[in-house]
Amino acid sequence: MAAITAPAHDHHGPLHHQFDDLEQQNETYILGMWAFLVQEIMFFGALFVSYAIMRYKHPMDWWAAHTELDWKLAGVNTFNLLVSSFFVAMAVRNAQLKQPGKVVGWLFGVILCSLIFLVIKYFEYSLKWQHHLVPGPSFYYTGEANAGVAQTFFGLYFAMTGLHGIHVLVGLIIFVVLTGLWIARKPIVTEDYIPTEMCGLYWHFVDLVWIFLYPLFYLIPKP
Amino acid sequence: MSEHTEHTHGHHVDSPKLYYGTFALLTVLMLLTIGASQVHFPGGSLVNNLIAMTIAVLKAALVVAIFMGVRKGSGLIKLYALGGFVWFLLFFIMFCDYMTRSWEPVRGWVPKDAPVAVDYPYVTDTPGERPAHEAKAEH
Repeated sequence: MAAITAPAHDHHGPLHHQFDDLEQQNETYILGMWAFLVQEIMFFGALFVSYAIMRYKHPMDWWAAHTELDWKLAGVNTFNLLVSSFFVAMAVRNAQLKQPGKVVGWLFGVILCSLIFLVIKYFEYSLKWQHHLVPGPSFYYTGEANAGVAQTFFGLYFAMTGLHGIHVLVGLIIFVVLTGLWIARKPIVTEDYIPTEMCGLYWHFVDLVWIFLYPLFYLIPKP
Repeated sequence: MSEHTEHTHGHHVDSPKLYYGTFALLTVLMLLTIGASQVHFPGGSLVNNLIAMTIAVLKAALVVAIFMGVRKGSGLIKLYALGGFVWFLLFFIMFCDYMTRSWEPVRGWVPKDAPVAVDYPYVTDTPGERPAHEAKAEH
């Protein structure tokens, strides 16, 4: 009687048994990530619509309130995020070519960019706090715009850039973990580029949101 | 073997030149956004807004197609990426309400102390009710 031998599946490599090949597995992972990103678009979308309705109803006040924001500082952050997106793209590319040293280098760049972004955001927010422009009991606005509309403007400003900022913070944590895995040369990242690619997709999405936030909050034309 | 023809797991690896070029183009578009916001175009702020949003969509398309690799992805992934954008635009159907409210004003929507009176005589409190001045004119 033949002994029942378990198939040698202790180490299956990057391919999991429910998939035919790596190509199918990769597409499944990336599709799952896109499903997540599309619901993130919905999440931010509701806020973009609120913004559009308020600006449509109060164009002049909206413009006047936006003059309190610093478009130059935010411009530095816009460029900063573009650079980080480029770094991520290069990291994924080197992950595909299985060059861990280079991947780690690009990933450190991404971490640095996200830290710079958060530091600039901190200075922006603390200035708004000092100017009493944070909605709530301490809100005190003396500018040209209607104070109620200005408070709504800053409410949406903090909600939208804040939600984006939380995404940057989460991204920072994700990239610190990813960089750690690459430094330790863990097979989960070195054998298959997909984990790096999925972190990259998330980061590009964070950049995408900012691409729209920047002109909508900081570069409003006078109506 | 040159780098741009390298394959891993049958996956095509992009040339670094493509990424450098995309990054340069994104930076130029960002500067263009800032520049365009400082100009007063004939046609007013609507033109400014259209230009700003066109550039933003262009930048987003570059990031999605090249950095996120959707142009190399399967049809299903392209459908998801495009679907997300279309779905987002569908939100703006809400403007059918906000943009048409002034066409058919209802008393409850206008505050009593509104600085501007509604210039529309056929406003009634209940649907189907005939305006008071019309009813008087019949007598």
